[in-house]
Amino acid sequence: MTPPTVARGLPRADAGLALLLAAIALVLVGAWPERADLANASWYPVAVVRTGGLLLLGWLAGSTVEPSRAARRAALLRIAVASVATAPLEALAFVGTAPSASLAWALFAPLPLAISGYGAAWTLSTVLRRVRLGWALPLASPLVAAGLAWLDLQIGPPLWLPWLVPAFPSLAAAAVNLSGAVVTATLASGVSAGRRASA
Amino acid sequence: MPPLVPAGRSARSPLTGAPPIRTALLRAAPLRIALAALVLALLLASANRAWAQPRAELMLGVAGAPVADAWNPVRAVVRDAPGAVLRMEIDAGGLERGEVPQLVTARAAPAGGVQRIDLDLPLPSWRRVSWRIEQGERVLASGGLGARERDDRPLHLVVSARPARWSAAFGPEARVVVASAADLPTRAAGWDGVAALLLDGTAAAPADAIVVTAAAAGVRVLLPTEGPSGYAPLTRLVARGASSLGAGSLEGLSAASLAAGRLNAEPAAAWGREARRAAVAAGAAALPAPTWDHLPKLVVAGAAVGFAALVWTLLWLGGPAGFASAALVLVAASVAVPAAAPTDREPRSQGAVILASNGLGVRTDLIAVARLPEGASQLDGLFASLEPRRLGWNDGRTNVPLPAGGRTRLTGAPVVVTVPDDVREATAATGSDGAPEALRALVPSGGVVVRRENVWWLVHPSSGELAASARGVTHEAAMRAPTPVTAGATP
Repeated sequence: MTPPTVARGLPRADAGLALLLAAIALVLVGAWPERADLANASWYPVAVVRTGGLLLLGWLAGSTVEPSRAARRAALLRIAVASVATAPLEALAFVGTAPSASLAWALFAPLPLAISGYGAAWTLSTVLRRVRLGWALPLASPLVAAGLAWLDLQIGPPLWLPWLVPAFPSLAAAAVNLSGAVVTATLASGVSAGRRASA
Repeated sequence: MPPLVPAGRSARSPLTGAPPIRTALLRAAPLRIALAALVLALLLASANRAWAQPRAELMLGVAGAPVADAWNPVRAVVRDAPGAVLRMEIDAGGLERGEVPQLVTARAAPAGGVQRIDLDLPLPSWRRVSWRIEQGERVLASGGLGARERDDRPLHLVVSARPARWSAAFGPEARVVVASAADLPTRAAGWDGVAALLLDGTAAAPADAIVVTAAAAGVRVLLPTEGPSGYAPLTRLVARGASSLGAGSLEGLSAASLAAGRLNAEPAAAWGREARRAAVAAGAAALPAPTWDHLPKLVVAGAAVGFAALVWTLLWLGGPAGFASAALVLVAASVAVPAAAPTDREPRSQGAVILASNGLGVRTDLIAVARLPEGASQLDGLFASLEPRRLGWNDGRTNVPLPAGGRTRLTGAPVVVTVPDDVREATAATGSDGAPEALRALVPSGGVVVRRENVWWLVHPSSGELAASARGVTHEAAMRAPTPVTAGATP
């Protein structure tokens, strides 16, 4: 069956979203307690899978970014839709677990993190292509990701690590990831390019 | 020329004939100096006495002998220090566990004069106990106990004017402590660390209700069968021989024993200390585990898979209609999500174990606490943990920090209760059917285990005949005990 064409720039579900939804649902059901005397701890793995999955989606989309502005904008929209579409599953795990954490943070923090990841991967791929080292991207990408994770472990409050960010809200993480997301969205959607063109 | 005479000696007023003022002053001086010196000496003595009295002091344990792994009476006395606060820090840790801090805070009444803080505290097997009594920024008194001062042997209290006679009465390993009637605890919890109480009639007698409370709490009480008139209420308790009472016993000291300073009879205690502990542990194990009302897993699986498939399909179809439909599904799911929240995030289950004999028993409340979110559970009353763990006791409340999804079991302070009629009747009718094996094994032949809701009664076969006068004071002893604490909601 062929899906209808995309109308008015609205993104369409893809395999990435299907995998993410399936993974979250699987983890949620697997971690949900079978007996009433067992504590519900399903939110912790669900939050890690959702945050990590969204970050991975953003990173992969940034690494394989197409040069067109519309494609970049669509990629960012797909990340935003995936974040919204998976939020109820995490909310279900959260209210069942009743952790000492913030639901609002748990639901909204992964989106700027994923967009920042998109921006970091896009920057990396652009730089490597500029210096004609695009072939090294599959090697450089995990190395840079590992370096960023190491850096995060060194500097106190968790900023990027998907297994720590949901449970540890911090102003630093909000500021860093929101700034990264705004800069990424501005550059990727071509606002600055549009301004230069109009000038 | 008049003769020169010393002023004030022979010179007199020419008008009245009285000695001049200066002379009178000189004559009065020795008396005044003596009076002033006396007043000064009295003032100094008074001030010295006031300075010598400490502003605050603490008595830990019965007669100042704390027992590890037992409830101990704690009494802090402060003088003219309104709002003074007693703070204790107990390290219940060890080499393997590391530091396990347990903190105690209790406040004196915000009034002048002499104020007391009385509480019963479950002392664990400590590595260190430190305490201080402070008023604002000032520390009025402080002190501590190290690991070398830790002793978990129960006390054998001797109330006697000639205690040396009884030094070998309880065996070489016994921890014999000389006490006066004023040292004896009034509440059952204070007797938790006491194995025996011996009164030979040579010292001032305590109130009979205190002695009955001690016996009911599990102490082997040894009383003279004959004694001075002040001992009449006590000698009547053993007039008909030894008898079990509650978890302990009342036994008479024969004239031969009193003369020789030896105990001829074997202990007639209904329950030993180890048996009481085993009963509490078995009762705690039999306590139903607190539960949460989670959504059934099948419902969650259906909801999660259905939602994921529906949202993905609607987004895959795309277009404004698909997008709007997906948005509606998201809104509906968000509205339905709160239904998955458990109604009780901090469920508890409660029960008790009561060891009874001859119409009186000692009750130990049990409570199992579970907590879904990480945090501290607050319980009304003081509770002890069955295993070393972080705890706080603040002004009569117990603070139990728990990790997310954590659970623990706690025990309350022992209190004396009377055996109600329905339990006495059930004793004969139902026996020990259905009781856990761990509890049945603790009851000697002829005794029974009776269950009333989550309360287990371990009724000892009454040995001996309790004197009629004892039945009168048992009620008073039960009334003296604090009301059993209710901690939060019972499922």
